[in-house]
Amino acid sequence: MMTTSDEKAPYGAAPATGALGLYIHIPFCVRKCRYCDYTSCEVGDKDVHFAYALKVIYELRAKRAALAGVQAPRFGALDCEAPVVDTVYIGGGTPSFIEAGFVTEILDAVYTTYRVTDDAEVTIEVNPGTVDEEKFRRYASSGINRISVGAQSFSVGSLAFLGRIHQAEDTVKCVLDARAVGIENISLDLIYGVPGQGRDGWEKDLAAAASLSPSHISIYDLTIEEGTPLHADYMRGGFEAVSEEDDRLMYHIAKGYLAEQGFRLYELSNSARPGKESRHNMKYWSMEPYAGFGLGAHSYFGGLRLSNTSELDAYLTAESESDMTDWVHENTLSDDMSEFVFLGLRRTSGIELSRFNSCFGRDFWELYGEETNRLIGRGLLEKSGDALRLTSLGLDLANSVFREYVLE
Amino acid sequence: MAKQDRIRNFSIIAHIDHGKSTLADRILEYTGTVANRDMREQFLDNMDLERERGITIKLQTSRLHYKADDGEDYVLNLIDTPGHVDFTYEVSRSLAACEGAVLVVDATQGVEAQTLANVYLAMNEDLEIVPVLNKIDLASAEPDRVKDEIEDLIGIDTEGAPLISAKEGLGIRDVLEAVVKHVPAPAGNADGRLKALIFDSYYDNYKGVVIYARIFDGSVRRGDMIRLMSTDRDYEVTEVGWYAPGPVEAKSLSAGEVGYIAASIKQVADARVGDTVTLADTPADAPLKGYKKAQPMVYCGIFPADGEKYEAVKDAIEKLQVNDAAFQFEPETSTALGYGFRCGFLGLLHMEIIVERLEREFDLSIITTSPSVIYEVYMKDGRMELIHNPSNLPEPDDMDHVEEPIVKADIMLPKEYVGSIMDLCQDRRGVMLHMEYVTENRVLLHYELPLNEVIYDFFDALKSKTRGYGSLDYEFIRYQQSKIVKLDILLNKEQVDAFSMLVHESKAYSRGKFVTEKLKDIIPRHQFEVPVQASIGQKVIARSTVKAYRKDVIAKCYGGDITRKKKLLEKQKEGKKRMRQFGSVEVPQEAFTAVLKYDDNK
Repeated sequence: MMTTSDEKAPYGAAPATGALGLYIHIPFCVRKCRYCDYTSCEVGDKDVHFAYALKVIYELRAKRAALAGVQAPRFGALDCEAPVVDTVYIGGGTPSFIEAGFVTEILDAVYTTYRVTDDAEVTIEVNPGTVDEEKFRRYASSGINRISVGAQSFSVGSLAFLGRIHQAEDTVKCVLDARAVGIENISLDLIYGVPGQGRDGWEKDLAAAASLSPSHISIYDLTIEEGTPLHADYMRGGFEAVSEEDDRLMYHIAKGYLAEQGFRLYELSNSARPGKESRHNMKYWSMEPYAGFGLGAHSYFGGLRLSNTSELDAYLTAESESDMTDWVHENTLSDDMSEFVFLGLRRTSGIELSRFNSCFGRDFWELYGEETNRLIGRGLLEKSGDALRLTSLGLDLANSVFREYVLE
Repeated sequence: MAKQDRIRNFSIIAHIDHGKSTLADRILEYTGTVANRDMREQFLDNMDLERERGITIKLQTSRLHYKADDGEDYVLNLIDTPGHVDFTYEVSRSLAACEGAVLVVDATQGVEAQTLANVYLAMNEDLEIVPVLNKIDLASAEPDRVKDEIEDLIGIDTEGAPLISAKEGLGIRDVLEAVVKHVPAPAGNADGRLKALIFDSYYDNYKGVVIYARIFDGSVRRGDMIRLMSTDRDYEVTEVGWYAPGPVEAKSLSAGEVGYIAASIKQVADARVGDTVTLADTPADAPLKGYKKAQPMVYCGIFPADGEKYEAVKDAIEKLQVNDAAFQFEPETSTALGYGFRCGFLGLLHMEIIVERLEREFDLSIITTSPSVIYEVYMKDGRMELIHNPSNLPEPDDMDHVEEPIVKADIMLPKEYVGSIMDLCQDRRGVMLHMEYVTENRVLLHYELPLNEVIYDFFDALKSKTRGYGSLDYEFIRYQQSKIVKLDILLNKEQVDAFSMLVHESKAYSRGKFVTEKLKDIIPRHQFEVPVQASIGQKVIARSTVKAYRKDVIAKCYGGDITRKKKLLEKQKEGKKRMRQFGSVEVPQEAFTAVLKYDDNK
């Protein structure tokens, strides 16, 4: 994904492609899952969905001017007013819950406002039970070429524990329906560390997922986040959390199994068949620019990190782009350097040290030599040629590594 | 110069929180010494810390003018006394400067342990005691019952004792009338040779040490050469005067008066409380009785925390000592904590106050180690060594025996808590001398307790077990032979000297267990297992284990929300910065104080 560039970035990490990623958030869900702490809400009212889609379209247009300025110089040279975009990701919530027409309207606005490259990766998250072949046909015809399916598990017990609305067969149908209309680039999300799942259950989930021949599989551990119904249940003693040892055992089982099946773990939680890595998500870990639209969406462009408001009412009644913004943070050089390292280390290929040096004009070893050597000594990092990456143990204790690169 | 028979020198004594400082404020206000609008609450307690804790540490004194009912103008010298067990000697010297004491008793609470302790001190100085019942505005006030208590326990007449509310300013004049009527005018010969008692001193940047003194005989004025009798050193007086409550320079001070003397003395330690001031060319033949050098009873190590400069701590400690003769220090080196100081205090409260002042007034970040008393270690070769630092305890083979300080403790409490406090005292190796019913509902326990059991957390335990109603007073009585051992703490098999402590053999196991359990909870998990052990010599007597973490990763990084993740990492890193590295083990600085704290659930 990353191309070595001789050009020195004016500030921060030079974008690998120079093109933008767009993230569009659809917060609505049929029902909020027990473990979910994302920006989402149980709103089924089509009028609200419609009003929301219009706001997103407004925001897509309103941000265009700001985004035109962040294109890398070589695109600027094309004298093209519309910013160039090579990935679009519609996430949620449950984007597949709202009418396909709203999604295609939003995508139309993307295409007319931005210069989306011919080979762009356009993803939508879908949840089994909210889509059918017809919906996929509409998606495909509006340019969507990748879906990310919230399968989570194929076990009745786990799906019930998580509070999902679907059954295993819905996931199977969902994948088949997408394929039927020609969407071949399919990712499945799985959750491990669910109480009662056990090692056996997890292996079955992995096998079931692999049998659907997706191109990409994400594996997430169940996190008991404060403020969720799951957390309340846990505090009441409703269930026992899976031990750290079992959690890690499941992770490494998955890593091995997926490798056997031809999937390469390319990031802490993401695996893909060669060439099928999520180009959009890679932007997050590679300090490439992306712009977020919709409720609670985050952006990183032009040296700024921004977040939109997470209040639905505030978003819907916003009269300007700035009304939608919750906060803006101007990244300092040290912000960029530490993000480059700790985000980059999420990728199993790690970071390229020469790239760090050329991006920032600072020597990595001079800045971080002491902590890096200590982490290597602790068996958490390894150096291989120009690359610095997490070891297998480092994957388990990644935060202990990342912490060291957060500058004071 | 005031007429001697129109002078009244008095203190106010009370149990903590019974309203001493509030009454002092009202008296200043009533006599117009401090205008109402300038009145800060509790004028005499001028350190923030004192105000917060509601106790007086450094006393201040004030000269008041009062026109009594008999039509005469009186000069009243109000001598404030420090209000805590640690400062008993200072209290006794303040009282020695007076002829009378106003005894304030909370009409809702009655007589408490410190009420009695203070009354006994006053009686030792032959003071006239003027009882006053405070807080009579409260619905729960029971003045009659409390009067009976005072008569029964203290044996003084409460007939006509003023019933007041210092808070509301009720009955203040009654108190002043009682002082004028009952407290005798000072005796003493103004023409005799100078004899003045130092009852306090403080350091002033311009004047040097300023002595608070009561003149018993003779007089003193600017230009006199004075002599401090305990050191036999002479100084030229640069100024005399009194506080009202700001300094007012005077021509002279003479017999019966109370005021200040400045004589370019460099250190507070040179003008010690209890010493006698006389004139160099016509010295008194004998000093006033009762001089005692302040002796630290409790020691602990004070070290700069990570990132704090040794020099900054040293400067601050030196500054505090200039003003506090009872506070002593010497350099100390710890393998765990580096360069620091071994500091001596009068007691636990004194220690806490100094530590808090270092942290707050000087904005320092410091680590304190386990407090220790002074042990007398008798060696096989006949020598005796004073040991207050666990690291200096000689090898067991070289020691013949060890003696530890014992205190006499008076504990007053509601009778329903007697059982649990007797358990507590027994647990702390106490020996009960006797027990008396003060009233139907309240009990006074007399115990002998090893001081080293009192200094850890006894007071917190007492307060906790009696819901705050128990009160304590103690004084040193003697040294006594005891089986003292050195308890070491090892983290990951390496001894951390800053955690070492000297304990009685019978307490080593429970103390060791407590500390290892506490450290298990407070030391964060590492990449490897950390054994925490307590040992005596080579023998491990208690252990716990900080389990290794197997997982420290956030799988999700959703929708490009980097910031939330980064903030979490920053917070974790911030936490790590406050850690102290011992070998490969990181220990939070709170660990050092946490192992000393009383734990209800223990």
